[in-house]
Amino acid sequence: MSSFQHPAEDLLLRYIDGELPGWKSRQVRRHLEACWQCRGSVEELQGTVAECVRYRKQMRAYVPAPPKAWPDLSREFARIDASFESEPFWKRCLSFPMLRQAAAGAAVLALLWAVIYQFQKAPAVEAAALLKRAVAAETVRPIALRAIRIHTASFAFTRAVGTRAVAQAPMPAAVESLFAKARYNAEDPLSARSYSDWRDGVAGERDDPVATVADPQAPAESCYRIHTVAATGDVADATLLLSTGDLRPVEGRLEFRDRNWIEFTEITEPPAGGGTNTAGHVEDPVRPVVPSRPAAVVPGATASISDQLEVLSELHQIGADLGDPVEVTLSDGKVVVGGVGVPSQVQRRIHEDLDSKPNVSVQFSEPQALSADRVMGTQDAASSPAGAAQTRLEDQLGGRAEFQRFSATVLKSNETVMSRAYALRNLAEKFPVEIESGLTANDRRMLRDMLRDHVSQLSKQVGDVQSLLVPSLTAIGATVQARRPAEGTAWQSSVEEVLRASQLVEVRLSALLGVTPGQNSTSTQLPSEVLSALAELRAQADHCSALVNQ
Amino acid sequence: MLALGIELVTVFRLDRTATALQDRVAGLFEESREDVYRYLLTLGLRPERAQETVQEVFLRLYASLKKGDDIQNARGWIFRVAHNYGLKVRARQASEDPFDAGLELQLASHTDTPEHALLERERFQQFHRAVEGLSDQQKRCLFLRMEGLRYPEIGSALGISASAVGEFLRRAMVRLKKVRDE
Repeated sequence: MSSFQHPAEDLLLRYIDGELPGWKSRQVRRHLEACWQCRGSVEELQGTVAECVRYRKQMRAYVPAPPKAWPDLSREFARIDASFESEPFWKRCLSFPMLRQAAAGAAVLALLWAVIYQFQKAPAVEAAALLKRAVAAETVRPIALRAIRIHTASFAFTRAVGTRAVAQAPMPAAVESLFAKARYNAEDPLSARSYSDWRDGVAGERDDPVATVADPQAPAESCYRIHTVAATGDVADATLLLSTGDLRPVEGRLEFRDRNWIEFTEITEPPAGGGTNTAGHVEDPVRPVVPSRPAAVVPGATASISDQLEVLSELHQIGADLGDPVEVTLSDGKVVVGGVGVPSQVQRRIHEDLDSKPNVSVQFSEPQALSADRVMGTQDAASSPAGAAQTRLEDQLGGRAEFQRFSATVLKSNETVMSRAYALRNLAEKFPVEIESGLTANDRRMLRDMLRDHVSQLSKQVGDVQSLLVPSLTAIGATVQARRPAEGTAWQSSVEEVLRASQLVEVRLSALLGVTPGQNSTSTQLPSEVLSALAELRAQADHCSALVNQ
Repeated sequence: MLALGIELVTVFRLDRTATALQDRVAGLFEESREDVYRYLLTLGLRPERAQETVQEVFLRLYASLKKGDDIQNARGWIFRVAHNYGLKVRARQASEDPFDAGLELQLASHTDTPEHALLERERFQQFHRAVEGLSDQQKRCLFLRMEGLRYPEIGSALGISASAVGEFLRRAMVRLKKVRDE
């Protein structure tokens, strides 16, 4: 952000809340010193903050007082003391911070020694063994159609792999010749077999110790990183990331000695418009990837709502309007794309797609890290026995392990539902009725296409969640009582209802599955409440779909 | 090393004094119980349940400190646990009559106030309605922020990222600002 690019409102709020990293905070402060307009925005925000403080103070006078006098807790403290002293000796030792740290330190040292010993002993063997396991896993895995994004300095395109049944456009000749130069299988680059074949064909290769890193596409998951350095040949080194769960390759990269490179990544969702035509979609050559920078602004040109819509559509094409907190605002004649904590891979895609556009500025910042002790504190506080409904569901599904698998599948589908609901809400906020009525026919079509895609994907996912839950929950006595959808004629208000219904589903599902801290429920009504909330969401989504298709 | 030795001796002697810890938690209880109680009402707990929950939270705090947990920011911890435990209590009370924060009833009973107080109350009511109109997550983020929690602490309580907290707060502020400007 230069001193002439106005920070987005969310940045200003984080700034006054002291939540920006030091360098970013200094950058915003310098900007504010020079910019009256943004100082005005900050004052407005401060005014709203002051109103909140005032509201909190006034609320004291209106809420009901505690029904009883506050008790003296000392008797309860004494009871806790007594239970603590009856604990075994080793447990008491571990309750002392320094002793606990000393024990933890000793364990870490032992682990470290074991890891270093293993890596010093035979790192190459470990990488080779891991690759062998990954090739074996690949052999038994069912053949499925996968979409692979291939990226070079000059091209970016998507290929379908995993089956020969799909006809697709030929790969650009320049990329094909790069694969040939590398002696690497271009037909299925993102495979352990292809990597292993390449590695076997290289003379004097050396593997770095296998590292465990975050999955670039799903930071909550982890990957093994195999990195091979070649002593001869055109490729200097290569990397393959394997999912730690099932050893499925998720990303690979070849670095050539002449500074060329090829990167291949699995696309977990269809890249364009939620459709399924991933096969052979070759895009125009893209500009060489350069370090992140704000896009150039054409002097005198001013971004319009159409430009904003176009940017939103671009983000929609690459799936960047789902899940990630990417914000698109019209500010000072430019379309500003930004956000805090957006995954680096998504940031890179956005830069690649939007940096070259005039009147578009792309700015991301990173949130402060959450300290480990705080996270642990939550888990500690949240642990509690499973509720009655959950126990019945476990019995119905055949045990704890089955329940956990079931729970993970349901929650993943529900996560997609939530991301679609938020994406819809985002569009409703940006294009209220009065703004939409001023759009050109083309812009309106673009907006409706995005809406239609989100609503249909949302309905599909809700259907998936229902088909997972209905048999199991009705088997334990759940019934459905669906409310009629709210009647409205504007899709914007219908979207609000969809979001509200999605949130209700999320809250009830979390309580039922016992995954949200502190929300295990003993309520026998919970399974019925979950099914009813899902039915309501389905009805709201159908109503919204009808309005969007008008 | 000296400190480690002292701790070892303490474990063997089993004479860990609880007085300082009790005083600390009792002080925190006195200082924050009303705030936590109010926050629990906003979650939809009935007053008697909210009061019981407040006591439980502070007893949990005492037990955690007693176990030797390193709690750097006690207020953040208290609200986080109050939020999680409060939701659980609210789920249990679902079979009882749902609690309406009672704000409107309380407001309606203040009819004999002077004119300036009436205006003030009207303004408060208007703002309250706007707050009630926020989404659940926006409201929770806002109330926890009003209690002085930082974004990562709020995120930790609600099970969302700090950046998502920022986004919820921003949306809440946009809506509340509209009311303020009206």
